Amino acid sequence: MLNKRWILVAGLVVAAAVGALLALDRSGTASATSSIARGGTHLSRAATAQMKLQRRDTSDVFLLSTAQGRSYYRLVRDDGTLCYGVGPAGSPKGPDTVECFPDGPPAVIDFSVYEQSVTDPAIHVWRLEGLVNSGDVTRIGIVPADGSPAIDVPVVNNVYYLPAPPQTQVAEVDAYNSQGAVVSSSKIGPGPATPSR
Amino acid sequence: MAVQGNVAAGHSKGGRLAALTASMLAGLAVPAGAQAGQWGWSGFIGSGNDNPGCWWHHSVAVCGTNYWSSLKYGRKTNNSGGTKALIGFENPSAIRGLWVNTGQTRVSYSTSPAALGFGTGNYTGCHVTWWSGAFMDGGTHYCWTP
Repeated sequence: MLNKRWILVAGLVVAAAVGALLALDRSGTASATSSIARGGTHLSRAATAQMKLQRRDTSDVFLLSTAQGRSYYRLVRDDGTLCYGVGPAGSPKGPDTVECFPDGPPAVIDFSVYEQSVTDPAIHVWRLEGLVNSGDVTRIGIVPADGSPAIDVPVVNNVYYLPAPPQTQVAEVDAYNSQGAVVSSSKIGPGPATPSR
Repeated sequence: MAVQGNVAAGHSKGGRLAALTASMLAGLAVPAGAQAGQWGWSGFIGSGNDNPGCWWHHSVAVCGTNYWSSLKYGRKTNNSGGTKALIGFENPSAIRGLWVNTGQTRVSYSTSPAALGFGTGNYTGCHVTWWSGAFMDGGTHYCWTP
């Protein structure tokens, strides 16, 4: 009799644990991986409806993180395509910039805004911002064209953000690993090519 | 995929005139000869049309009909041809956008002037720069002439 009780209790414990894991997996908040292909808090239907994403064929939205007044989202289209977005934190409209990746997210999704202005015509970073989908990338840096040291920011919870970088002409935006090695590099600015017509 | 890119055609005559006037006024406000080049307003360009110093590629980008309220970018082909692009919005004093690098596989993105920090009071136009040193867009455009 005692053994049967123990078996029953053990079974209940295991079932509860499995249930909890499944629940966490659905919400994604307990994801152990740093990948942004999963995880995030699954927003309610009502919240998603407010974002008016139906025209994007998107019904599932996950809040990946919120920091420094910005919120980062993963959106899943009805066909399974993953999209990512960013916008003001707490905005009921959700992300105001969205990009989709049918083949899955790259290592770095750069939502940085680049600017040229009348007063400062050399291309510079107006806002450095993006998502990182690789545990290898720990910092993101703006490499100035004049050879001065890179202006870099840490990646925290898969996000990098620098709202107002120095307006120096940018040559590259690089991703670094924990040893400081360049993992990926995006060349910014003039290039030799023009599109074929 | 991208959409018919004739954003200029989305204007009514009145809207065009207003935009034209605003752009001309803005052009006057642009300081001539900033550093190594200058900004100048080049007028409307239609889909697929060339314009000195600027270039607009049919169906590369489209602005929403709701007064540039949104911008969608769809790549027609892969970007291995060496095209770099700055895609976003512009007003008379600045252009801002996201960067599309050579070989990058950005398929689509959407954004808005507000997302790029442009206030609602400014005239903004959809903007695409193919990086050859010239700017282009689908509405008014301000070309940086090196």
